[in-house]
Amino acid sequence: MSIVSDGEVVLTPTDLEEIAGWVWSAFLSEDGAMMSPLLADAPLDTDGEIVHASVAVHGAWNGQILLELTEETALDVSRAMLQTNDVSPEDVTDAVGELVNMVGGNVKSLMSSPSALTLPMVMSGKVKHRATHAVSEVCRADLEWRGKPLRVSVWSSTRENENGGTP
Amino acid sequence: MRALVIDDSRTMRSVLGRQLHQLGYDVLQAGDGQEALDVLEAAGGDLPDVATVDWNMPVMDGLTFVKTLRQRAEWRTIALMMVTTEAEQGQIVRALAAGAHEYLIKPFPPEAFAEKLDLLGLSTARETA
Repeated sequence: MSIVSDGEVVLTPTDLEEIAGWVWSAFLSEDGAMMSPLLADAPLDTDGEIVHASVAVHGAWNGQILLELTEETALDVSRAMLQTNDVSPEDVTDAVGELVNMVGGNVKSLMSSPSALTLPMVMSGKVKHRATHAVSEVCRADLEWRGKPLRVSVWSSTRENENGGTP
Repeated sequence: MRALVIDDSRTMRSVLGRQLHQLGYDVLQAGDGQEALDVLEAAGGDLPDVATVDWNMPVMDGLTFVKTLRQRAEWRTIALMMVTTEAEQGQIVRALAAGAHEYLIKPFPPEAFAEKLDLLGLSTARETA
């Protein structure tokens, strides 16, 4: 569980694993597929074509929550949530956006309040992280679903005008 | 029994609509609060028994929708359930004070959704469908 140090919540990969597990088990486990932490030697290859979904939090805590997965996994996730193989690119964007919305909302609930959550933003392609002095990764969990890797990460920001874009 | 699902995510509208349909409901959908008000205006006297309301939506958010709906006497029979990722205690209090009857935090298992409908006295849909 999360650690509280000097009044501040320090997120751990276990927190992110638990939150992602709640989301996946609620909406993606009807066929019994489980989510478990990924072995350290097989993280998501973020140099490839990746779907990046993010939401930002503004208020007492400022930051972003990022969900990254391959386009193939994003398609599988969408099919599982919608319970149909006939999904459009817009369906994939919407489904992955809703996933990061739920993960982000639960991360927000662990941080200082009050704060507000932005609408999700979803991008595909070879998007590189652009960490700056104002945005830094505070926690990451490399997970797998149906044997496919995905990553949940949390980024903190000192700026209050961050949008939901990729850090 | 009729239900109105209000969520800007088509995926969530599909998930909730599927669960409600399995419980015997006819399901209406809206992508934001304003669209939901338009659906209710068009429904005339054939109003939904319950509306599930997301919080964060474009155009009109869920809290504004709840406040707006509660100002209309002819719509006061509609039970309102917030279904949202917003989990702060202050937000739950605000939503209930504005007129929502129940509050369900995403993610949730299907049985939790059915239990909330039971709490609203809407558990007979399956039997009467």
